[in-house]
Amino acid sequence: MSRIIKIDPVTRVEGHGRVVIHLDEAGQVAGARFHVVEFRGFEKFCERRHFSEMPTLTERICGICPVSHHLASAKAVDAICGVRPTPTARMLRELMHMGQMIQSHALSFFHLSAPDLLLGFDCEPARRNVFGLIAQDPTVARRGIRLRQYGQQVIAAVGGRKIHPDVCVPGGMNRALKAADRDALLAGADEALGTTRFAIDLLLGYFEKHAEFVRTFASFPSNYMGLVSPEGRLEHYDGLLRMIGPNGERLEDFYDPASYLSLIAEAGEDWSYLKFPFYRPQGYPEGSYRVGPLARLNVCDAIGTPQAQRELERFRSICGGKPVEGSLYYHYARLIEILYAIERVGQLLSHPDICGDDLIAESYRVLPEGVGVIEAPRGTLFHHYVVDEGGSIERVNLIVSTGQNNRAMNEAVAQVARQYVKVNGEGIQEGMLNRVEAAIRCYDPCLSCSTHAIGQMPLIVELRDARGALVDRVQRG
Amino acid sequence: MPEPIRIIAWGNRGRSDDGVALVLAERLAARFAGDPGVEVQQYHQLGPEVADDLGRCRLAVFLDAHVREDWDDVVVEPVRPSAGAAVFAHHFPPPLLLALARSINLRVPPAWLVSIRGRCFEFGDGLSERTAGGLARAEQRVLELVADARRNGRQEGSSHA
Repeated sequence: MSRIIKIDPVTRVEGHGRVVIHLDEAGQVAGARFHVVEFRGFEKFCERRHFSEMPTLTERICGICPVSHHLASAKAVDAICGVRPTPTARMLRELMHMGQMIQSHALSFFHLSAPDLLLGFDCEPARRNVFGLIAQDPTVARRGIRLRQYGQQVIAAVGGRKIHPDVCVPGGMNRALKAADRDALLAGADEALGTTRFAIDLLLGYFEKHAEFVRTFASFPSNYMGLVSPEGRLEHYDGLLRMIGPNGERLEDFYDPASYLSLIAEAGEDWSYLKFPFYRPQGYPEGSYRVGPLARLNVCDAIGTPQAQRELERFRSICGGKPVEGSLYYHYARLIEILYAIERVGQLLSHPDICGDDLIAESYRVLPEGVGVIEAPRGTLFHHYVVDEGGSIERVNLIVSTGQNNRAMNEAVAQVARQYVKVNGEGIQEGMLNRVEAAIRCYDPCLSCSTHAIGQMPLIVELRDARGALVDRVQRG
Repeated sequence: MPEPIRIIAWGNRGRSDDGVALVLAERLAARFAGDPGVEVQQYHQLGPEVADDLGRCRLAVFLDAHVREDWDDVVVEPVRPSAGAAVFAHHFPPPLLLALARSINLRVPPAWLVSIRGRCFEFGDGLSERTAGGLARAEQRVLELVADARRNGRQEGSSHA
């Protein structure tokens, strides 16, 4: 008798998700599906609006990374105007982007994933959360909060406010950085770096103690994609696309992001609202790829700041220079990116023109379309707008990072389930659920629900047989 | 100088009535402009750093939309620290934030939630007529909470004098 295990919804993951694990007649895992309710309606909502409104409109897509949407949209709008921002404006945008990277990654590591790692996957769920973490070591959560605040301080200094900054305009920025804000941010950098080093030491301590588990947990070969600078370095705001294969072979290099439609196509599955982007020349599903921190560190040649570069060299040694496959290494890559972002904040703030007032490159052109691509905290983010002669939006295409990691999350869940599901006569195992959730959390998915959650989200797990009859059910929360 | 009263609103202006708390927050920000005793904060989602702000205020008034059909259009209720089962996404609801403040040894202020019933959560900029109709009453309830806190603060101040 084949059976199905459902995990609905997944805790500590944005939006609404449901996991269904399919068992075959022998009780072995046949496959897994991570179901996502995605609201594609936002693209429709934008139609007939003027393109210049898009940076403000699109940052409402997501409560977690509004700055990323604001910036990707601003780049698409620049392209429609056929203009590049002034050097100071470009630096300010990147600065704000680094703030977003710090605050988003800090939340993911310190408050969502650290409990799994530091308290253990078999810790009882009532304690395996940020409160359990605080009970064990109050400094971890406190330092995590301060690190996140530092990222938000960067965003507020550039954008005028912590959420929904409205500073990017076609061709640049509408607000200069104040010298007092620059000095305050520089003064806070050492503490932020110290916290990140502290987190890296914690994580690597865990990795050392659980080496075999970390190496094999949700580990599988895949393609990887990310932006790199013209020198091949890690790049988040600008740059060109690089796609590599499972052994690190370069499938595409220095690819113009504006031509992304020749590179990427989207497949649909009848059981998922979320699309499955893939590398067009390889087809679907062979061309599936991963994005985000792990992918970015796998595709880049180097990092342009000293501490992060040293950490990249250690990261590279994990697989002898080959791409690192294990999903748990997303956490390590995330922390290395925080290190980079803080160092990059320092570099940008030290530039003599960072407080300059040459902020807008003017343009009166309206080109028929524009593409804006950035590396958001969770991965590559595409905004593509087509407009009419008057600048009204005719069509919008958004490809978000969670979609690009969709196939990988399914694979991660299936692999963990194969390893840990033991349902024959034992019902659903708590330890298996914890590990399935942890596999998904490696990707820190944001499902763009756009509406904040009202009420508490319970965790419901159901085991059903082939005819749909309930075999077992577990509810948490 | 006494610690401020914090008014903390969250929601999404791009999802119709989901933005009602932010509209209310703007009205209150205009009313308390220049008043150093009241700080109005707006969020898309509440994150753990709000716990730090809670530890540095004498009253917290949270503003939100609610979707309970059996509740009044405007509901005022106390909020108490509760970790619950700590089942959460990237969003940290007020009871969890108060519990987080307490767990990192910050002072936990008295806290209230003022919520207005939302009816439409589709993509859109405006509020539905009935939800917008609750704004004035909700604003009045917030003003009463602020006035009470100030009156109590003065009484405490004079009794200590």
